[in-house]
Amino acid sequence: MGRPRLYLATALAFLVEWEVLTHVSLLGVHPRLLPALVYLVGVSAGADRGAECGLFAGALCYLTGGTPWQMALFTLLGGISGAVFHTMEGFWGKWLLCLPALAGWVGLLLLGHCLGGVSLAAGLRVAGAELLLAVVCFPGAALLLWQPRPRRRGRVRRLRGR
Amino acid sequence: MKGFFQHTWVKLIAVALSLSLIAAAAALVLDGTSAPLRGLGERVSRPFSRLFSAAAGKLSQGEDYLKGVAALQAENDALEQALAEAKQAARTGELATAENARLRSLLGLKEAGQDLTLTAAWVVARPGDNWQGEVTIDQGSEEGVRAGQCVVDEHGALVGRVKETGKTWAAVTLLWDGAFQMAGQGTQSGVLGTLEGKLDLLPQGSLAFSCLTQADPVQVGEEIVTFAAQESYPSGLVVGTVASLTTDPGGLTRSAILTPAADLHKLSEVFVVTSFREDR
Repeated sequence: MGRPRLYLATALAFLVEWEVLTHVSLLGVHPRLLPALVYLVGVSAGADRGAECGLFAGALCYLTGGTPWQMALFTLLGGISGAVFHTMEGFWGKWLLCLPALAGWVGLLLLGHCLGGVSLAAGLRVAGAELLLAVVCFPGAALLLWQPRPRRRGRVRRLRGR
Repeated sequence: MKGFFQHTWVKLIAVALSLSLIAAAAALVLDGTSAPLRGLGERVSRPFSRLFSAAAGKLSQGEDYLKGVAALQAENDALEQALAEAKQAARTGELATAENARLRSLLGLKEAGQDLTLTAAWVVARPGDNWQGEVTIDQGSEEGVRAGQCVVDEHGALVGRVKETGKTWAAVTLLWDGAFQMAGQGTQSGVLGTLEGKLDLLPQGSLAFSCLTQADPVQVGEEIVTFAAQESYPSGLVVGTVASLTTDPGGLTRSAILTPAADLHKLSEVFVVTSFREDR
């Protein structure tokens, strides 16, 4: 996956999350597309690109009023996903494994807020809903990174030859 | 171990962590350090937000149309009923106002009233972060917007308070944010309490009216308004209605759960109370 395409997909995901998904409230929270996208870039294009994508996504969030910690958390998510889960092939395998990866990300977020004085029960309520919706948003992230496979011209020629 | 730190992604994580730490420390130590960055974000987002608000408005109109005549008829009946009740209340109010004016003139007091100066603003950004209830508006210090000022919707219902301002933008803490805190008063019981946002109420879109004693006669359905002991914000702004009452863990105090009067999920245009005059 080339860099321009990676940045374009991340910017597009951010725009969808920021302009559309923030107006949608399910289970009391807004669905987020960026965590699934950063994870997917990590497992598909490697840890380096995952971390790069995470840093870019976090910087965009910070620029628009989010907490600065999102930069570190997204970079961590992209890097760790690429380093740990990169062997998983196929759409379903990647979707299945996004659950522990995103759980780790949400867990760190929860830990930070609990250290900041939020009660564990309240934090778990938000974190659970956020994790569930981030996993549900995985196909949306996959769609943004989807690229059609090139046609196999050789097979067509052989059939014509018969 | 040495090889581990030579990976590009590990270096990137270290860079991101350092940037986050620097930004967080700067935000703690210096006020308004995110101003240039946030101002940039606000400028980029403004056209998209306007476009989306316009599209959402059209969609909402279409949705209302599709709801059908039956639903509108039912709504009309309910509104007629509410109008009749409001007329009755207004008649009672007129008598009370006249009596109040008479008594005030007898006591030599000035006419009570409230004069708010409002500055219209558009909501241009909502952080995707689910842990904070905060929005960015497109009016800042150039228009007289200052930290601590109240923000209301088109019906005059309280939306939140200005937390931080730049030249052309301001961050508004919404009612349900954990950092929101103000004094409130029940309109029927007259009971005073603290309005505060809590993270466990954030998913429901509610806020708490706390520090109530067991004897305080707050009822479900009672309207709560702002109460200003000092002159930093106006009193009497509608906050919400009591949805339920709970006893706090210690058992000594109670809290009321309020449903906000403003629809905080669908904020597009809001008004900042930039100055006010209040005679009591």
